[in-house]
Amino acid sequence: MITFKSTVILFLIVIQSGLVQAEDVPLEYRIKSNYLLNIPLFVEFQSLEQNISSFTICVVGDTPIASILSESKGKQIKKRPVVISRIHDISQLGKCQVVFIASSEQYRLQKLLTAANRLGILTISDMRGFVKQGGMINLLIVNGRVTFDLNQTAANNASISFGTQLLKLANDVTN
Amino acid sequence: MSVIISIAYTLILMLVFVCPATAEVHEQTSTAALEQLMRAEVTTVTGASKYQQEVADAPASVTIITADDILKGGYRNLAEILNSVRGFYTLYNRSYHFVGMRGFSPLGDYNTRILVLIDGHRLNDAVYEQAPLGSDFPVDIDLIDRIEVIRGPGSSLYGTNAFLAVVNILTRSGKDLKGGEISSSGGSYNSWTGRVTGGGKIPGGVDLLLSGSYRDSEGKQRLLFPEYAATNGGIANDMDGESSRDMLARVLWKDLSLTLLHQTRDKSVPTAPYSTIFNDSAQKVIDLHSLVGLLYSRHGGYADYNVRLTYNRYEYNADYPLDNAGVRTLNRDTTVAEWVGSDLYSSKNIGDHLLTIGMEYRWQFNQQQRNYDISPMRNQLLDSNHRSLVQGYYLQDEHHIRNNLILNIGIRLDNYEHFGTTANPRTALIWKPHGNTVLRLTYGEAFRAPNAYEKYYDDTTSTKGNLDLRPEKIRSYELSWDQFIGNNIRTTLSGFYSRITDLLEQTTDPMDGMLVFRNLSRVESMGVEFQTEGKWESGLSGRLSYSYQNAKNLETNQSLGNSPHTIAKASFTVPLYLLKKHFATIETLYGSSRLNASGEKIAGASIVNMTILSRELLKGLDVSASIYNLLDTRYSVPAGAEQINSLSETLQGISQDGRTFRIKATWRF
Repeated sequence: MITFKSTVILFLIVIQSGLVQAEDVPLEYRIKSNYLLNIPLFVEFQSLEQNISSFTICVVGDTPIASILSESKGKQIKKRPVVISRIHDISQLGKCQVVFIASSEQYRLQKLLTAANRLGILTISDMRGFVKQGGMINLLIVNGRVTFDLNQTAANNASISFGTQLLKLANDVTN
Repeated sequence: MSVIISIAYTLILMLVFVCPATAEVHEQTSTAALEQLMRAEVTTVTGASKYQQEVADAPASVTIITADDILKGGYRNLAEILNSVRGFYTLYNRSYHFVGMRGFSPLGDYNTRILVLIDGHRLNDAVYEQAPLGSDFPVDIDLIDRIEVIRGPGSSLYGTNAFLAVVNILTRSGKDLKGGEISSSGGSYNSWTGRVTGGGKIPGGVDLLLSGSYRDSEGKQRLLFPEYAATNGGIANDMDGESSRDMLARVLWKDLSLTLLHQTRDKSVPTAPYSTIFNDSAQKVIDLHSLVGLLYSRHGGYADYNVRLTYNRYEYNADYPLDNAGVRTLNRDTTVAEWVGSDLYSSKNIGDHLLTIGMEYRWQFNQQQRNYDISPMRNQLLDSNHRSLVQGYYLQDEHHIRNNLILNIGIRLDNYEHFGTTANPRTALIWKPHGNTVLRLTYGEAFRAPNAYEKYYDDTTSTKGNLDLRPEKIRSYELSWDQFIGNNIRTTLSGFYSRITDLLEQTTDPMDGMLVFRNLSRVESMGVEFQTEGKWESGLSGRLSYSYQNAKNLETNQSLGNSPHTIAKASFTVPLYLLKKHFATIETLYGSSRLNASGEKIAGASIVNMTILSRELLKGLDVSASIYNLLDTRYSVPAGAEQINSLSETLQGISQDGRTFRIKATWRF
């Protein structure tokens, strides 16, 4: 029992020394948010106009990702400051370079995808089967780790191309 | 001994203070950032609802063990891994490992009340329905990607054997490898292991993994059983050896995944069970497991569809040297169990509901049990061949009543030819009052159908079958509270109450003196469990758990055999900061005393294990060194009623290994 007690004491010390600031959002969503900020670095947007001063990531639907992203300040993508925008209507897509579509938007997914493709916007979602339904990047959990599937056809149709590093890291690539 | 403890702890304490709690932030190139994201673990589970969900949303209390935990803990087999899980305990009788939880693991049971799945495919065989949870687990544990331990009744999705818990083992795929891996270890008792694995994505989008391993151990050369002192001074000489060979193939292609495995393992039996001659080198058991599992899984579109096809074969050969009125008779017990099964299930979101519907068929087409004397004369005692069909139909609804409130209701009907239909529901209410608090109330029922061994094993001399057996049943309530403190700490407090009726037990028929299985006892088990765990990005982690349970037989009002009241575990991993990518893990496992088959108390023990892991010591080379039972504690586990030799002497306890070590190296290329 002595061994056990000392282990308990030691454990408490370990915990105490490791206490860091609290956040309420599950790790899964923090990881997905980080993907949203990192993936565009490896994507070529052929329609990205030189005169656009900011890089806008839009979030549509109900997901904790929107609030996590809104805390990311001072980030830059393609040498432009990142702006996070929550949108509700398809007509608001015009300003976005990337749109994250939450699972709650399944009912109007096809409309969203059609509009986004026409505007050359990178579409990302964590809903199941997103790539099969014509989306470009599907964040998904495989064996307890967040990874992503790519749909090259969908991207190319919107004049977007994935970098080779991104293709190499992908879980699966649809051509 | 206390000197060693003090030194060890002082050393660790120093390390704790030397290493900062959070990782140093390095400037990283962007792909490194992505790759880091890809490695981060999120807590999801697939086995609790037959689809992937967050652990917090699951209708059961779930523990996830990752490959990283296994590596850092230096675990050598599945039983050691499960023994690190809150509330679980093990018993090694030097032939097989048995796993219990919540105070329930009857002596003489063959792990029939835990369902073990490999990549979702049922592994329990078609005769004993035994879950191979020790060194007979047919996959090299280096090939485990993660383990989902799902507590409580699981019959509402899985049918029989999902009685106390479901353990789902997910194996690695070629993508995780991208090349080859060679691993080897050496340790005490002349124990050696070797493994060669290769894999990656090959043209055509096929992901492939192939692996083969061997394990050999001489075991402890001289094992002392004081109760058997009349023969060879109670010493079993060179009777603890073990060897195994196994292979695994995994193929993933589009929506298909294939798992192929085979293992053969043989183990000398030193304890002279079942009235056999002690210290007779002929005594051994051989287990062969094969599994072919194919899963087609399609997500997206109208609904998710899954088709699972499984072929499972198990063969058991045991040689028993018996004393037949002064003549040494070698008796052989042979079992071949084969089944094929299909499991079709589909999930669909309808508004706030996630509905799952499924049906499973299992055709146990070969349930063969034989027993015969080999020498001096061949004499057939048992030749039993049966086949049987199991059909299950299930339905589950995960209803998101509000954003923070989930009601999960499921039920499964199972149909068996000889006793008819049994219905087993499970319901869970999951409430998240805050983002970091999860309260879960579950009620579940599960059953275990009488297996072919219990029904048909009839050797006409000592054991007879029983066709009137009914399934045994468990009803279980659990209330648990999970609290996340910050990003790194999680505490769990849970209380449970279970009642088992119609427990299948082996007894002696007073009419003819023969052993027979009957639905006998009612058992009640209640207890509380507490756990707190922390994990930091630097690699620092710790886990502390305490379980108290009281299980008793309601017929006799006595405590159950092999049922410790208290289980406590502590484990922590410290990054050795000055050396980088090196980790020290120290683990203490305590279990209080347990009763053996004759009601004697076998003392509890506290065991300390330690592992130092060095990652990337050279390019692609990981090396680990482990010391098990660091303090060389002498302890025994309770012996079952079968531990009786040819002189009718019975064992009280079975002594376990003292201090042992292992050094292991793995090279990736």
